[in-house]
Amino acid sequence: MRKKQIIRVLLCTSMLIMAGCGNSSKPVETSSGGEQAEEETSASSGEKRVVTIWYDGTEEESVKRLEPEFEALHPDIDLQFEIVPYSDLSTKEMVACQSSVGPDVMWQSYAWTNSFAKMGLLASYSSYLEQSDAIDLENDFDPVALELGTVDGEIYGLPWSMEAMCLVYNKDMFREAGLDPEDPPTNWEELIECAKALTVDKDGDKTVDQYGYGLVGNLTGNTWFRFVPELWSAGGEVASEDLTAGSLNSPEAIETMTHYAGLLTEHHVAPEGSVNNGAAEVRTLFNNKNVAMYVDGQAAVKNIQKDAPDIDVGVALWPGKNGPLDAGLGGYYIATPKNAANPDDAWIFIEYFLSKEVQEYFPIAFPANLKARETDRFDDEISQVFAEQITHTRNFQPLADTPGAQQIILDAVQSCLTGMSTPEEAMIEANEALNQILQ
Amino acid sequence: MNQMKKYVPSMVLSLLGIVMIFPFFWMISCAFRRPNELLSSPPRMLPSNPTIDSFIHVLFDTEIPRYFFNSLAIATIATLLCIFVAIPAAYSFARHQYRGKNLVMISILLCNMVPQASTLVPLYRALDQLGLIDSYVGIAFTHLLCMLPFSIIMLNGFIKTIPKTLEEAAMIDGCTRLQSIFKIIVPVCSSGIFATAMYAFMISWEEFMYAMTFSTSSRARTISIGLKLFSTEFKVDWSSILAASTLMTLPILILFFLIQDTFIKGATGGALKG
Amino acid sequence: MDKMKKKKRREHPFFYLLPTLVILCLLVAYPLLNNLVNSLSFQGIFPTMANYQKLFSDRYFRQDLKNTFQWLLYTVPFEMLFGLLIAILLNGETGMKKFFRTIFIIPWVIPAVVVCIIWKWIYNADYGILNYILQALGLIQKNQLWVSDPKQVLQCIAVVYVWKISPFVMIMYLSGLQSISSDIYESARLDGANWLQQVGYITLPLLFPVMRSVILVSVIWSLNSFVYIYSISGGGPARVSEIVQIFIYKTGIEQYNFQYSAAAANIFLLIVMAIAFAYISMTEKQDREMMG
Repeated sequence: MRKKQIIRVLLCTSMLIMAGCGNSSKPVETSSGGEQAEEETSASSGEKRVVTIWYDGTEEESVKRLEPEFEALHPDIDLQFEIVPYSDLSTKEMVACQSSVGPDVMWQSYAWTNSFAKMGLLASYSSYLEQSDAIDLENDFDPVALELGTVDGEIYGLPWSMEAMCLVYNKDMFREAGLDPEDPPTNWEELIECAKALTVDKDGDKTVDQYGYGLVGNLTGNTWFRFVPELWSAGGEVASEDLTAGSLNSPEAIETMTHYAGLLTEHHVAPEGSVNNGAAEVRTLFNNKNVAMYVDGQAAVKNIQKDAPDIDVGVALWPGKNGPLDAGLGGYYIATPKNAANPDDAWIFIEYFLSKEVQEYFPIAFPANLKARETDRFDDEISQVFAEQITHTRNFQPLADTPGAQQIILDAVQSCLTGMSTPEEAMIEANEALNQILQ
Repeated sequence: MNQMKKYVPSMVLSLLGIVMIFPFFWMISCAFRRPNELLSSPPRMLPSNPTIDSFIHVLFDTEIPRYFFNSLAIATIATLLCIFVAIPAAYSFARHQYRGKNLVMISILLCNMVPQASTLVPLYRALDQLGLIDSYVGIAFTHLLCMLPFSIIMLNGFIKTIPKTLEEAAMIDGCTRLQSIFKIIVPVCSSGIFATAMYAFMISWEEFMYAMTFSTSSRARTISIGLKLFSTEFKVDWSSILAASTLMTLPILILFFLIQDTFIKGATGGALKG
Repeated sequence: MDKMKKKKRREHPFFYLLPTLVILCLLVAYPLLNNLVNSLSFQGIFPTMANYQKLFSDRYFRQDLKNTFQWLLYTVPFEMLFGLLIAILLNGETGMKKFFRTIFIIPWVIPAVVVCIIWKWIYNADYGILNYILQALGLIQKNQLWVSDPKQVLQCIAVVYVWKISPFVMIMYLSGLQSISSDIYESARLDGANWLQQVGYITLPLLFPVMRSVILVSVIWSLNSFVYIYSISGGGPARVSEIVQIFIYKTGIEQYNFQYSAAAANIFLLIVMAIAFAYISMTEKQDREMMG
């Protein structure tokens, strides 16, 4: 009796193990859940073939326009857009890419595509691109934007949106502080002066009610995107050119940290709780008129105009050490998992998606397809500033372990902001940690 | 003196109650504000001009109501399954003596500690093989991983407070052990089972990682994912998040308020004399 | 007698455990195996102990272990005290029992994700309501940093955790107290026992089995509670509030270093296993003595 029961348990367990391992031997045939049935019948009875797309929901409006238009052109293909919260998009994509079921097309942030491709999780577009008439990479696309999607000569991801961050400020607060809202700061020194004038205690209770500068001191990605460009402007870089050794202990890096953390620790023009403020928190502070200036992207500014219509938003080139700096290039890539069920139809979608016609309306930020930028959508004053900033951009170094490096920068920033260490100590320690992960 | 004594517990409870309820109050207060009025200096207890825009937005422009019912279904399936399976197991731990029992118990408990990060890929593959991705049953099943160990340990504690004599009497009357579980233990323990079920329900209700990974469309997406969908990279819609969570907590609170007597008082029939 | 014995044999304990074991094996057997294989692979080499060696020299891992036990110390005892206090007060003769019970259950119905959002803004060093209230009450002179202060961040998050979990302790004790008949208290009162003696000699001993379970579950949950720290401070500032679960999550899910994360998870699993085993064996003995 007893033995039988044990055997039964063992049987069940082994079933699971087989379910787990067995799958990897036949990766192409399976597809997720209910779609599987649909897809298999489609080949025989002429029903629609499914292309599954995972995205973060930012462009929901544009998707609603794209979907029927595409399906009218390709009646045999059924697009399935599925929203995944941005904070978990990369996790979910990572799980899907490692199992044999997942989307056919997925949105990715620039840094992910590079990591995913290096881990061998993505399908190469190179062979499709050679035969494609619709996509002319060399002439139509911004070469800087293409860099991170290319690994060992193969193209694993294609950019479709490009974004560079600018200085966002509240013009009314400038006026109240006696500053000229049309003459925003252009370098560190002016920024600090400006921020000091904008840091005020309105009701005289000896606590500051409005801070000059919204410093980002939380969340790895948020901090990385705001600290590293400042480092570039001071003449520094995260790692050496061959990416084998860190250069965070350089005088430039220490100077950058002194400036960045100094906004709080020395000049007291940033909120005291900055170590807990990620970009979302700082944006909320800006919306609630608690912060006068901060650094953010184009899509965020669009949201501010919607959520806080009473704020007179100004945008200026991001002030670096001696003048406007090169921002880090951000935006979205499109990529296909190596084990995608339907890569051929996915490519039909991608060709359509990256075309001038779609790109003209789709991205909130600038399209990576240069031809699609020639619309009147970007004629307003704010977009013009972002357009100029986008010509002053750089790619982050394609480090082997970018998330690890981002954590190291965040740790350094936080330990300076809280006064746990001086900028010198923090950067020397950060460089040691960086050297370890670069080996 | 006696009068004073009577009021001391109520006073302490009121004081503690204020502390406990404050964050909840704050959540509701913020849900009625416009997005650009969440923070002010100095902070305001009540919204200066309350608005129900976020509630209307959440109820009619989003799929939150649908996610709510998904969550309800998944948590109910998971809880029923969990309690049904956990009662016999807990009974066995409370009543049987054998070697290695503690080790078995620990092993079950530690299933809760296996990091989710390492279970995601294997479970994803397995659920796909079974065709359970994006289904209520699939997600409910994975939730058992967190719910079962907890329920077994708790029920074990409750069953142990019941004197063995009760079942022995029943068994002399001709009940089998299994019968005695459902005829004696379950009724006597009903308040403990109810409390455990409530908590098991909540574990499934607020679980995020599995629900997120194993759902691929709004067909099985739960409310905790719905809450996350209010924040994209460039916008966090605090007021909608708070409105949605107010909407999702109130029905449960009301339900608890209404049914608590049935379960908590039902057990005090006085069957037990220590 | 013979008949009884036969019956007992057929109802082997295994029979009761079978459904549980099948479900749990289905869910964890493969992940555990996978974890083990992963933790023994390093840069294409298998098997190797490189991950474990690296782990023991990783100062963050050691610091996180220390933090984890600190976290345990900040949470579990306070949960127990707070929950028990409320349960005993609620069990006594007070009016509006139903109302209070509902009030104290509130933190339980708010999802953890939202709890963190609310508390994060309450704690905000510049615009948070907590600083405002405490200043208005005259309890503090100037704004405190709360979760932005590396010295008190873990304690502050522990308050959130205790607030959220103590309803669990409360409800469990309350349910346990239900099975203690009021006759016992009455006869004790006749014997002249005061309130404290009643709690000490009747309530606590009779609650012992429930308490034992509650403590065990609380410890496991506390060790496992990663959402609260992760969403409020992210383990910061500069990783001072990071516990092992966050370490595992960060290396595995954020930095794609699955092998290193698997090694950390296995070590942690072993440690927790040892603690749980010691605890269960210890209390089992006591339990048997008390139950006679």
